[in-house]
Amino acid sequence: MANIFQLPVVTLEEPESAAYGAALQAIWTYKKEKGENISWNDLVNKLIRKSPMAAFPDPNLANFYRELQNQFDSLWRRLSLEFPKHRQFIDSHFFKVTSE
Amino acid sequence: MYSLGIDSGTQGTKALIIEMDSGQVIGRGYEHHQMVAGLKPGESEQSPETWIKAMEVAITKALNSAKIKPSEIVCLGVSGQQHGFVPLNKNFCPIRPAKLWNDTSTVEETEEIINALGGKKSFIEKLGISLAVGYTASKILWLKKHELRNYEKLKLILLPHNYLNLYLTGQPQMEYGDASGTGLMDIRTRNWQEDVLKAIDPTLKEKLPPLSHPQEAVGYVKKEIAEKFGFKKVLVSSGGGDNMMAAIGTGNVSEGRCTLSLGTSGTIFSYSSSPVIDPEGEIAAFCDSTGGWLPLLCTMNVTNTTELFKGLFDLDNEDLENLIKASQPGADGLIFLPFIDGERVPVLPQASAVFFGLNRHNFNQSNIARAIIEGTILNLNYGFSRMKSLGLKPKEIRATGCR
Repeated sequence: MANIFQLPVVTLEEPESAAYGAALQAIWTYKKEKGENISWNDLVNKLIRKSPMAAFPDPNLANFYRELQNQFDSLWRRLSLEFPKHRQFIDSHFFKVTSE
Repeated sequence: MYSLGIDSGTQGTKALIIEMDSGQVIGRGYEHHQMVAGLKPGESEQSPETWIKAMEVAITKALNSAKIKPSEIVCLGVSGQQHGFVPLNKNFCPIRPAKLWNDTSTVEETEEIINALGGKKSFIEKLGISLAVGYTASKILWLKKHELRNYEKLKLILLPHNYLNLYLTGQPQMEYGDASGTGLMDIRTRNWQEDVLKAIDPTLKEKLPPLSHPQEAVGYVKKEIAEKFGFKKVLVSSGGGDNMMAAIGTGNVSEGRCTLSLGTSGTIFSYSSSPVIDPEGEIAAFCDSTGGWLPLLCTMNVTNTTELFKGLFDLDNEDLENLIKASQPGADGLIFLPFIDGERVPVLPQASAVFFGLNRHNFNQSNIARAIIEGTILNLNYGFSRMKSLGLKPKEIRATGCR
């Protein structure tokens, strides 16, 4: 994953990020109401802990994955006109595909 | 002192109690939600009362597991599923169940609104964001067109987390982050956009709550509700949509940080101090819930194919890991286009999945497993590249669990 994105991918100790974020926003707002002006960055840097599980990109694979990405993008672009035709084929001979 | 975080999702409600100085989680609770049963294909609804009950059970469970005095909780925040339409009458009671983000029965209404504003390009020019089927706007027009008697009772429109805030404090309001997912607000000026309101109903503005900056508190928990839990004085922050709250919960509050959330769908979003508008409308130009913006990418194909693959060969997660380890980067040239359920970004609604490049050498389980995983990430990375082309400069990705 880190190799495809070419960025470090880190994970956090608390996986329930939305509930945790709601609690953090409440803390920030509470401190503000008390007249304490704390920056969002300081608050999250102080309270959020990273977990040891992290992945870093291998620079030796950067060019390889860039090439693969180009192949991937070129494939779906070239197929973009074939997909609706094929969908019609399936719809008329087999079953109705339901998706968005 | 402690803070309470609530996440009212589609599956259920989670409550976390955290110690304010250390950030340590000391209590947790969860309660499952029911969906409305017996609907037509494409419809997805929940009764807002379900969320209230589940929130109360989740809070009680969290308090029991934390073993603290409830009076030591001084503040709380609510995260909710984005886009859901909670229609309320003059007494602020739900008129009917809420249509949710994943309800796709309003395709016609979406097109009608976009056409009324002069087409997709013009819609983006006017609001800074494109209109997706799941957004709240088309659900409101749907109610007007399909259930006029209900629509006539409509006095207040809220989003799921606003409804919980209203229940807790008595105050109806909508902060910018979740409001940016209605398709009714100009995400640059953060005001209701008149043309789109008129396209739905000339008097729609009277039914919308005041817009507020997410840094403003909603109020305090009402006495009769505080007494249920043994709370004393609990401040309620603005809350926000689940992606906006997940941004805060992963520390994604300054430029360079991105959150990656992998579930059935995959989302990537990143804080920005100014609006990030995609003229193509592939990247959603949301506001965040700290006072900034939160451009967001959502793809539809992440764990769906891996689940099908595991089912086909009767594999568990460990088997899958081992298969992937046994293969090399690039799966010996096997490429997988993961469009099992069509795709939103890139815009390929009628696409299907494709294995490309099979030969005698690479035709094995390991390569197929790896190609599936790599394909879903390559697909996300296409959208991620689009985000970068709009000016984002990501330095780190923070991955978070399946939601």
